[in-house]
Amino acid sequence: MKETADYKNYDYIKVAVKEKRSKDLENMYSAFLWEQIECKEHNRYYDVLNYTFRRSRKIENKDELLYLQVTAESKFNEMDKRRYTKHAASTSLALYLSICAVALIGSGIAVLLLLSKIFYMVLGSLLIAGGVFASFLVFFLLPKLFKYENIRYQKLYIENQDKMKQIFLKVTELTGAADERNKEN
Amino acid sequence: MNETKKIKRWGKARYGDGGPAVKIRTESNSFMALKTMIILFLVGVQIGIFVCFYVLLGLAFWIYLIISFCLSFLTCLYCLSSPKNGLSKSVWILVLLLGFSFGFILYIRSDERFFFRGAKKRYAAIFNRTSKYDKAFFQPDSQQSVKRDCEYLYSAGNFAAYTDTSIKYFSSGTQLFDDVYDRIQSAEKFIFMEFFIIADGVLLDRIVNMLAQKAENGADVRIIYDDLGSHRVFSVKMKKRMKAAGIKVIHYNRLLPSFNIIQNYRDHRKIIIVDGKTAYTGGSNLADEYTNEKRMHGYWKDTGVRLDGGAVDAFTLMFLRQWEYVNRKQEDYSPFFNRFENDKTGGVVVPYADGPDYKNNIGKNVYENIISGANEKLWIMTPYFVPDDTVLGLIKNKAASGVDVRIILPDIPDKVFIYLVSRNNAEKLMESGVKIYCMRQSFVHSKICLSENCAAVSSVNFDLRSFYQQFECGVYTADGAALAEINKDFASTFKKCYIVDKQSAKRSKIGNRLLAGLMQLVAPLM
Repeated sequence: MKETADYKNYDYIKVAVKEKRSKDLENMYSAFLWEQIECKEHNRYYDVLNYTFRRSRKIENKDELLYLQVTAESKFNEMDKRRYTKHAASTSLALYLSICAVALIGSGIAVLLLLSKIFYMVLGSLLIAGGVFASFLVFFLLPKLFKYENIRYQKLYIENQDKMKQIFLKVTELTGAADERNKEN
Repeated sequence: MNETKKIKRWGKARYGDGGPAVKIRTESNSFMALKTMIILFLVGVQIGIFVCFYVLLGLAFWIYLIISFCLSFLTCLYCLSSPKNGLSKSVWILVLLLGFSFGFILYIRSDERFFFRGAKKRYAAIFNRTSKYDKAFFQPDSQQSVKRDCEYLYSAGNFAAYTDTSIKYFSSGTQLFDDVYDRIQSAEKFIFMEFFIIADGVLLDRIVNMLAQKAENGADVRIIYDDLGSHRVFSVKMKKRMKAAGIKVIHYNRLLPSFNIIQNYRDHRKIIIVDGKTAYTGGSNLADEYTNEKRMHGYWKDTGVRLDGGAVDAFTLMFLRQWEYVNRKQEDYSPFFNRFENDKTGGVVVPYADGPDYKNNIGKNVYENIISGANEKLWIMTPYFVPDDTVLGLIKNKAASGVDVRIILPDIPDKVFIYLVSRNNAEKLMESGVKIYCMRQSFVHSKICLSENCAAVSSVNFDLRSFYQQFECGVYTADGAALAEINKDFASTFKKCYIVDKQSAKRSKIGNRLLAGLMQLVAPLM
């Protein structure tokens, strides 16, 4: 902060945010009556911005607003986390099945080529068949899992957006009620 | 000085790619975490050497096994005669019999009757010398249950009732410290603070700037902090800054890497006294998370009270006694008393303290009295719920007899193992009709016990450490206005909670339940 903090009259908060979500953050905090006083690049991470906000220390419904703010922050982070883990299950399953398929097919071929007894020929064939089956699973099962993950993510996204809307409705009621009282006074 | 040195960019944020988009000062001090690990490691090594020594001794000299078994058996009998609670006794007897070659030594090293004796004598001397400042017994004109509670508090620790004190309830740490900050600005003579945790951060900076100004203007500013509670978060640099500014800062019970029962006695009080006219207490420590200026475990719910009037003297006496104990210097207390402005409110207010310096477990007994006296409702807010059988039994009986019993616990824990035990204990009460609430997205740090007639707002958790080992304080009140505010706070908090139903309790993972059972065994030993 370039100016000296005026702790007698203001509360301050420092927030680090990913650059691509910075506009959302600014809008969110302004709804909670925070005023942005500084924004600078993080000194280590090029995709992170450091914000400093301030707000008058004496505001109405401060506790309620703080509770709603913490809830909104956790919802804000939740969607980011969900975005990055959207396809975690299908990705890890695909990797696992692919590696298994390659290992099974490879070991089956190796057994067939190197060992000549009937038992090993049967074993080799079974290993190759297992590998082919794993490949079929990757090609046919995974798109369905992928689609399911997309649907689930959409649903969670809509739920999250609804919750954020509810939070901001409450915030508007609280801050709006305070504004009206100020006007009356 | 111009900053010309280029800082090397580390690339993308480490906490990205799956981590939070927003971070609000959740950084931790890695050096202090290392210090904690070293202390724990050294204590673990001591226990390990100790156990190995006695086991090897037993293997080398068979006669030692017979002697140690006899000694452990005698120690079991000694333990049974001790004033420990039933659960602690059972666990200790198990340890003594299973580990008989070293159990009796462990027990003796953990028994306060051997290792806290000197400290108790010092406390007793301080109490004797300063007993003239105790207020005389006063029976307020109030309901029978309130009168009984006041009589108990006076007989247990000379805690008198006051009716010339106004009490204001704060439903959050933010409100409390906003008020503290405003009040300190008008301080003139002295400011005393006692906290379990004092942590570097925005809140401490703000308060210290004000305290430094007051110290410069001649006010007597004293701060006691607990060395265990503050060791990771209260830096040496800040302590030096405070001392340089004329603020007297002193630690309670230096944290040492030694396996010793004395290390277990901690100052868990939270007291602020300003000019002998105003006092604050409650659950909040002097750290940013208590005012939600730092994010730890979601929204941090805390509470506190402010007293203005005669009852402030009780807190002043509590603080000065503790100060004399840690400072080892006697002083005349009289300049610090009778400075309040008379404010006849009629509401009963009884400040009280608890700790190893008192014979009775006052904090626990206050809760027991409130629970016993509840006929319509009993609402509790606590971060941890690991009480002993007496308290559990009382709560169960109350719920079974139709009293509206509700317990609010955190949704997000700060200590996972204790949270598992707390949830386990709370869920056992559900069968008796107790309603368990968890505050969404929050860590509930408040310690309140409310019935239809009275309430206790204190630093006493519903756990064995607060009941039996730690120094605590609180306010018992039957003031109508304060009770109304506490009721209002509970009502608004219930709206933010979800009820734990029996089905979800049954569905809790078997691993968690086993772990909770194991922690239940360990809890009485702590």
